[in-house]
Amino acid sequence: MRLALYKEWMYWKYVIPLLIICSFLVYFVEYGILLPLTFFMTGAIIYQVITERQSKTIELELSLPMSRDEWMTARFLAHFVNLTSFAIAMYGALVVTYNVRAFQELPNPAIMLIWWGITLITMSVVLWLFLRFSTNRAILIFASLYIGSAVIMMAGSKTDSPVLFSTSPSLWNAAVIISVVGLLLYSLSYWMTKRHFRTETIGTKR
Amino acid sequence: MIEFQEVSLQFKHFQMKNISLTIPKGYVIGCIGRNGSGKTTFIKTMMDLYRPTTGQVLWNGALLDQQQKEKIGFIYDDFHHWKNTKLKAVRKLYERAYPTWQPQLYTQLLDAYGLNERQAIHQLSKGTRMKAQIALALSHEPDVLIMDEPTSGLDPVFRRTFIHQLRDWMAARENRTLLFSTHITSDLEQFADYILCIDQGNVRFFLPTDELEERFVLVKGPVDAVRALGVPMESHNNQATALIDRTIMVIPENLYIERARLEDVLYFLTEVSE
Repeated sequence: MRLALYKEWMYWKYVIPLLIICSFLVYFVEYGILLPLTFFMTGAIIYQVITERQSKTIELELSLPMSRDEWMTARFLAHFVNLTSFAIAMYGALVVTYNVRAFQELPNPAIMLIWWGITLITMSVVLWLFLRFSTNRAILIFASLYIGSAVIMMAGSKTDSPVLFSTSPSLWNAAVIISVVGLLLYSLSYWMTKRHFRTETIGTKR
Repeated sequence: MIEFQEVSLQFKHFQMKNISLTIPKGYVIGCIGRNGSGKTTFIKTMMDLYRPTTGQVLWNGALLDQQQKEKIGFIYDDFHHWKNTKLKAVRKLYERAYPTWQPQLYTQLLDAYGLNERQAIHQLSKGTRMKAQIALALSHEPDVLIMDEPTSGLDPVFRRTFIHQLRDWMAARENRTLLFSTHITSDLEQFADYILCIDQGNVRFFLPTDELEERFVLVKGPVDAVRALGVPMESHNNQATALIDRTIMVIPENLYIERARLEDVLYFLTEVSE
């Protein structure tokens, strides 16, 4: 398992500078960093899968003493750890920013939990799609899902209310529900992808 | 010992049909076949990258697991890694992967091949990428070496050096097994113990090299005389050439016999016979 985690680290170590840059950006854009980060996390998964398919890296990795289950577990674990690291780092950066600006209250952790949950849901879908289907098919399904959910969200956002400083119990309830759903969906995505990967033919175009 | 037990694979445009054979321990096995015949599929199935539709591949009686993989060195037709990765990073991955990693041997090989660890993979030429793969594959002292077209992209001088190196590698320890596929059949004639011929997803033959030499010969003579044998032939200027399997056919005395090279065997069995 350590070997499988190391091969993930070989890819993700390049993200650490970005984590530091984002922490600085929080000072200027505060919560505005979260949406781009969701796009980044999604893009990182897609980029990783596409480039590893092009370079056939997976053939080399699975020829090393590493099982398919370990390979997939490491992949899901790495993304989960990255997302959680970003969530913690961004919250820390927000606390620092609020202190510098002498705000009366701390940033609401529920907001961060909601972002973490929503991003986890997005990542679950993207990981499953891109590791289960061919790149073209995955892009097609993902684009359809993205457009569909954007339409639904636009329709439902007519009654928008400022929630960023809200500490109401309903916000915490929503945060807990979203993060639990995110965790469940991520686990389901992991289980389904791992199951499929056990019998997958690696790197063939035949 | 690597055992293929009734292995079949079904792809959209290709199938491998019911392969059953045993690759013995301690020998050099050369794998030949035309482009798209299934050599790489055979190797990838062996390495568990392709899972058979039916049947199974057993390594010493068991499915390929991590303990077995630790004893295998592999060289594929290209260096399959992120193009921006430096050789040093890949070496670190290998160091972690193999408990028997020999840093001194690796450094020696790098020096001998003129490789620089700080170079990114995309900066290396195809031949140099192959050399890097060779250095990585040999540096953990594997018991089995699996190579898919390792000599493609290598210059003739290094190719010869590499073949000598493989001979030394085989001689250095007992029961080492080497399997490699190649289009350069002369490489195999130099030192392969067995030849495996794959054609259109089927095993044409898997024979010891000396038996192969004994069995197949080229016969040459007038077209009518060769045609009378009833085997596929190639003719030019009223002279014909055919490949004969001496175990199933007696050669008439009026025909001239010539030793069949591996390339001739492959050519006549897969091209002329069609």
